Amino acid sequence: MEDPSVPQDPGSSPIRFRRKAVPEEKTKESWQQIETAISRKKSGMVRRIVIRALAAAVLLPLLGYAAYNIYCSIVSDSMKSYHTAYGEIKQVVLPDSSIVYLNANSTLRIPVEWNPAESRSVWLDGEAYFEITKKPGAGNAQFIVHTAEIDVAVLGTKFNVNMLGARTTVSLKEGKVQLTASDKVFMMKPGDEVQVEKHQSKLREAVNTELIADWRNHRYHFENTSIAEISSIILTKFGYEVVILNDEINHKKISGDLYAEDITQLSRALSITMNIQIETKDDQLVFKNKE
Amino acid sequence: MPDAYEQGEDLTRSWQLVLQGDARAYAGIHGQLHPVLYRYALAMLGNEDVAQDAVQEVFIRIWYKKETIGLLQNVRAFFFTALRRQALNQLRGLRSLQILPPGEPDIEFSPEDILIEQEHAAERQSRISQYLNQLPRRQKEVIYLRFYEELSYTEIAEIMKVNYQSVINLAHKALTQLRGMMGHIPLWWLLLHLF
Repeated sequence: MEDPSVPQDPGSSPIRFRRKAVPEEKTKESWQQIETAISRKKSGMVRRIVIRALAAAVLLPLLGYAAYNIYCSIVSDSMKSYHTAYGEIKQVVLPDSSIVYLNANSTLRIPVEWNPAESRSVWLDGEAYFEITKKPGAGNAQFIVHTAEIDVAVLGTKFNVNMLGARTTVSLKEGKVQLTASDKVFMMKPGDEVQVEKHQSKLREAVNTELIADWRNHRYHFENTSIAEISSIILTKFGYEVVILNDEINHKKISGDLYAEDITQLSRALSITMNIQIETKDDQLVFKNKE
Repeated sequence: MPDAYEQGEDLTRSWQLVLQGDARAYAGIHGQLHPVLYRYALAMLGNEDVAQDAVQEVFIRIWYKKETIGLLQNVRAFFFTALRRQALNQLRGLRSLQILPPGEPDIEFSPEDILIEQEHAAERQSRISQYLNQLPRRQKEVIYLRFYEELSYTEIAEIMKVNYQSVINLAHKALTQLRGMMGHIPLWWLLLHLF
């Protein structure tokens, strides 16, 4: 520590500061995370070194032979792809043990292997709910969801990304998310929902976080939802085109929660709520007034 | 700062235990340094979650590298240095995603940071924090580390990767500017806070 009487010391500050107090929970929470990280890796590290040494001894001679095959496979399919059919919901566990729930008619593409020096990236088309694990201690701490319209960058959170028609919606359940649309950047906090459409994006605050990604439980939450939107959901999630025979149905709006495991249950629930008749014809759902 | 010195002794001892694999001693170091480091990370990164992550990352990484690190003269300065590097990397990462505009880390002082016991405090606090924020970035960082976190100039030199004399010069410039900018604040008030 320097002697304050040293002539070159520029002296004390003409102002004094009040340090911001850091809440104790913050420190505790930090240590919990660190503790799990350092105790989990402890045994793993030794094991990994042994495995590496063994692997090197066994694999090196084979490497030359394998190189060609590996090269081919990297070029042809360095990406792994998951797809859900209409009406299907799938759970995918990523290599970092993050969990992705993939809603109907959606595709998730991930690299077969993540470069530890880069961010973890996935590509999404459709709708998915992400539960991303933190990756402290590793180089690729950041996790990025790429879609056609936006990039969502996170460090460890739970959030839903939904593409419906021309609109992409990101809803944040936990943690913090940085969302990059073509021209705008949003910093989201839990309960925030950002809707991105061509040339306009808007932020809604205080969305009920309980309802985010409720589709995983086959629940549909409608709030003054238009028939156009419901038609769009039915088309993207179940592959049925909605045909409306009576114009007055077009002006109806729906509010409430529905439970439906498949399109039959959904159309029954809708017909009761809206007091209309719904008929299934091939890949069409026909909405009409009750006879 | 007699406490800081005692704390330093304590940290050096804990670090020796950590080198023997003592996780509880590491918890002790974390307990002492987390608030200070978190504040510094928050000042640089401007986001609570990102700051918290940066600090955790530093603690985890240092634990695994402890054997290569070996004995430390100044544990606190070492953690500050590691955190600063981590924050710079993180800023670079966020910038490459175009989430943040390019540039150096920029500490921002808020009016609540300024301690004032007089009336009309709010107005003066915001004026002073404005002055501080107008200082060049490196000067701001020196002011932050020296007078906000009360680190020694030797430590600051280590953390900011510049030599001792440069830190003194930066501090000197900053303080001169600060005193100059505060010229129209009444003299009695300045005197009150000089020592």
